[in-house]
Amino acid sequence: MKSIQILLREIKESFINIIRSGFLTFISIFVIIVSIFSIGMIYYFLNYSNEVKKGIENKIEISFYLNKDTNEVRIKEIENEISNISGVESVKYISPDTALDELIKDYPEYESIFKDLEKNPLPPTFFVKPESVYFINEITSKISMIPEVSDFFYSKDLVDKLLFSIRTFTFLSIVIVSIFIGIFIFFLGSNITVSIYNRREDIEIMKLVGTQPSFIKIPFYIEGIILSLIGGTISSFLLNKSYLEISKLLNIILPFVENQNLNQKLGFNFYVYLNLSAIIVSLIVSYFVLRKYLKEIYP
Amino acid sequence: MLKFVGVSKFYDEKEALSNISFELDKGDFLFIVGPSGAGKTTILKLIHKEIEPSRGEIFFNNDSLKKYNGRVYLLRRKISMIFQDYKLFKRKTVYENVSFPLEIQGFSPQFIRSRVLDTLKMVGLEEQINKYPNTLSGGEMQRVSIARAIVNNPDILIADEPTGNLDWKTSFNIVDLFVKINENGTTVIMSTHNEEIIKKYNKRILYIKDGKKLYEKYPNIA
Ligand SMILES: Nc1ncnc2c1ncn2[C@@H]1O[C@H](COP(=O)(O)OP(=O)(O)OP(=O)(O)O)[C@@H](O)[C@H]1O
Ligand SMILES: [Mg+2]
Repeated sequence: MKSIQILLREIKESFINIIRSGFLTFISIFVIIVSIFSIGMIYYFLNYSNEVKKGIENKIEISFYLNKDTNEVRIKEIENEISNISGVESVKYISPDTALDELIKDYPEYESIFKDLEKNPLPPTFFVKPESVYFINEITSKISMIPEVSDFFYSKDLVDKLLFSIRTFTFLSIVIVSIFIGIFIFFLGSNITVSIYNRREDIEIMKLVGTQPSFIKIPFYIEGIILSLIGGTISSFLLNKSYLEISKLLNIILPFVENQNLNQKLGFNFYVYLNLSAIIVSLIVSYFVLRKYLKEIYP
Repeated sequence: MLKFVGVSKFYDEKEALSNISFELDKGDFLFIVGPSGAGKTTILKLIHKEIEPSRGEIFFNNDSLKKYNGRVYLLRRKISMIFQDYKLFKRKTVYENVSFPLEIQGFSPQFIRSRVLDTLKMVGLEEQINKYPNTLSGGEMQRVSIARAIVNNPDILIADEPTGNLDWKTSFNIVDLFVKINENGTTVIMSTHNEEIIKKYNKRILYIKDGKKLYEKYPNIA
């Protein structure tokens, strides 16, 4: 009962402080909104680039040929070997006969030429689908170690470009997200520091009239939570709207990328996590600032 | 109830208090008297545990004050201090200033309300409860700080030159108030260098100079 009374008082104190801080509160909320919004946008584009990647991945295939004299048993062995390589999604074997049949089907006008051939000139062929582009290099190097493999192909250029773009984009995203987390932490930290400074006289008096340290500290934590929640809620709304609009736009510009609306994919939980993360970060920031500045005021 | 045993206090090299010993019982009233720089404030700050003794030990209810290391606030709920510059919360009303020590302890709103109003009545401020400190006279501000100090019924009330900024008539009123608080059972310790006050009130006196106890005078029994 007593602790509830005390908590109510602490909540009241933090609201009074937020109102007293006025302009500073306003700036802090603004910065929080900008940070969370930017992080949310980057998250969106990371997801989008992932969709692009998946779309391209579906089309990537490694094909390779075996020496023509490789026997059936060995071919079966090789098929097994390859499907056991990690990162291989599927292996398809096309025998020379099947390949020739398909060739004839594709080019019926040359049927007679193909039929006249004494020996089937086509080699045994494999098509390998990787689980992701990231496995391509590993898979090809393993394949090239099989002695019977005579040649293999994949669109190296495309894959390399794709990998590079994804890596660059991911790296940039991490950098930008870190910058915004930094800004978030810096402004929240400054906010609390200034609040402590503005209240140093009151804190001094509180200490002299027997106030327990937790009563002095908890309003600062509550203040951080309230600011994060206000900023987080507003940016959640902004993100929700922007996701919708950007999805529409991207569907028009890049219709071939499967781009199911992120709002549906992310769902309500995404915004809950976003706000929770903001609150957790604000609690951590509060903890360190209070530890730094209140120690000397209140050891 | 309160006991100084060979207490000395050094500020850097300078000895502000030298081997002070005295003892107070519950319900005592003590004036600490001495010229400027004698060490009066130093004694009161030691009792309030704002500073630590360099030598010797202080006991409160048979416990060394060291027991309150890290939990000073528990001590300060039993030993309230009044300051020459009042130290009121500027952005709180008279009522909020006085209710604060009860709020932090989580008493029920009904209890707080009746206790605060009783206390403000006792110090004669029942008309001013919604005013802010900067609209009050010095004497009124001192009453607010007294009300705040006694609202949670402390064992000891210490006051550092509470009349220092007040005219003599207001000063006597304030000391009268201390006498009344003392009669209700609270031990009172007050520093002053006002001779008029010491003469008018027949109370125990601890006289110090240059950090040394010169003499202790007990009240005349009429
Ligand atoms: N924080 C400090 N650092 C260094 N010296 C101090 C400090 N506080 C007090 N002193 C010195 O200790 C001595 C005692 O000071 P104290 O404040 O206790 O005197 P006082 O009796 O309260 O004087 P006054 O009547 O002027 O208030 C003085 O010489 C003072 O200069
Ligand atoms: Mg003094």
